[in-house]
Amino acid sequence: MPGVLTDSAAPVLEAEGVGTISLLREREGAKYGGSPEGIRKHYDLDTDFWKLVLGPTVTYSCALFQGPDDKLDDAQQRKIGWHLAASGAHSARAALDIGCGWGSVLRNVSAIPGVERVVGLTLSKTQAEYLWSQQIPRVEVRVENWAEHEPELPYDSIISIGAFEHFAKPEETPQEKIAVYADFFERCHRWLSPSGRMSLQTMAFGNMTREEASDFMNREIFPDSDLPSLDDILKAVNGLFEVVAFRNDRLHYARTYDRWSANLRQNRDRAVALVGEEAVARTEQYFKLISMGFRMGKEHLLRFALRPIRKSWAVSGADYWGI
Amino acid sequence: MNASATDAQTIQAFCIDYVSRLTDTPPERVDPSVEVERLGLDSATAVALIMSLEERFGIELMPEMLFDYPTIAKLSDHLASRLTAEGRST
Repeated sequence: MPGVLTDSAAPVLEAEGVGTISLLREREGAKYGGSPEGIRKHYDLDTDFWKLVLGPTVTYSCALFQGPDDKLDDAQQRKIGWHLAASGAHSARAALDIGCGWGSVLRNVSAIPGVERVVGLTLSKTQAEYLWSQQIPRVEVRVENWAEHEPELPYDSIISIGAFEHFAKPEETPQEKIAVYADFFERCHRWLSPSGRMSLQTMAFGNMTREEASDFMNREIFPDSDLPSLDDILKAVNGLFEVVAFRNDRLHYARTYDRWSANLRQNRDRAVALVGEEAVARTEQYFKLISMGFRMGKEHLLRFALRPIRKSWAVSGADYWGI
Repeated sequence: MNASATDAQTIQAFCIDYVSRLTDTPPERVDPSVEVERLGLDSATAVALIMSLEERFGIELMPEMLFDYPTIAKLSDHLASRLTAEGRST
């Protein structure tokens, strides 16, 4: 589709980011956009362990609760529903899930009538092997960084949940971080069809910086990763996407982590048999610390519905009632 | 003195002792009626307190409890009634 993949409105990169990006790519190599080692250290525990903790759909991200008695599985499905609507998945033929985890979004998108192709990107081989073994119809899972992804055809819908947390590195300057995020959004913008949509969910720093985070969290849980702030994201989407909807659901994530804590405690013996006492104890501490952090507003949980900014009047002014 | 009151006292003494050692403050200066963040706890030390209470009393506790019951006195009363309801003693 000539023209579609080149309709880029990327003033951030054109103005100041291109040099920064090429320097960063040279300096960081395969770690640019997400460190494979950092990702694997966090996610590559046994999938059966994560099933015990996260539940049968292995959805490792913040749910969307309706009330305190809402079941975790229902709240996770509601969260996925929010993203499907925000990203226009119901009218998509091709969709992309960046950071597909164990496939709960892929399965939902694949089941939508009219969807012909869903691509999932992950840096975790454990997750990819699990998904390859499932053979979900119309789904292609790739162990690939978004910074290396080169689609042949555009997507109508892009969803990214819980991956953005890993895009930036602690050693990057604030300007470099924003340049990495802008590079990500510029690519997504380029990959989307004219009327495409995108949804994003990420943790972010609230009233805390990385320097104030505990050594335990920085070293054991999120090595090689640095969280964004809301301001970083708004700067990075500037000129590329308009923000259609935005939510900060930090208390939903505190509740989600508390539910995972309860699952882990109920299945502790089996969990220890799968991954060992040390990993279980580390996970227990991590869940409680991060739940506390979300309650205190140290971390936020941001969800965005994004619409690409286009030059065409017909596209940018067309009705869309997804969310 | 009924069992529940004894339990709350035991839990309160445990919390005061824990916070006293954690913040290097004499136990008599750890006021159970003020919010825990004013006792010098941060998120990491508050989680450490929660996890030590779990271990000591064999009960599952979530961080939200510290927001619903923000003082040592309220927390101890709440835990004591939970332990009593679950048919356990300290």
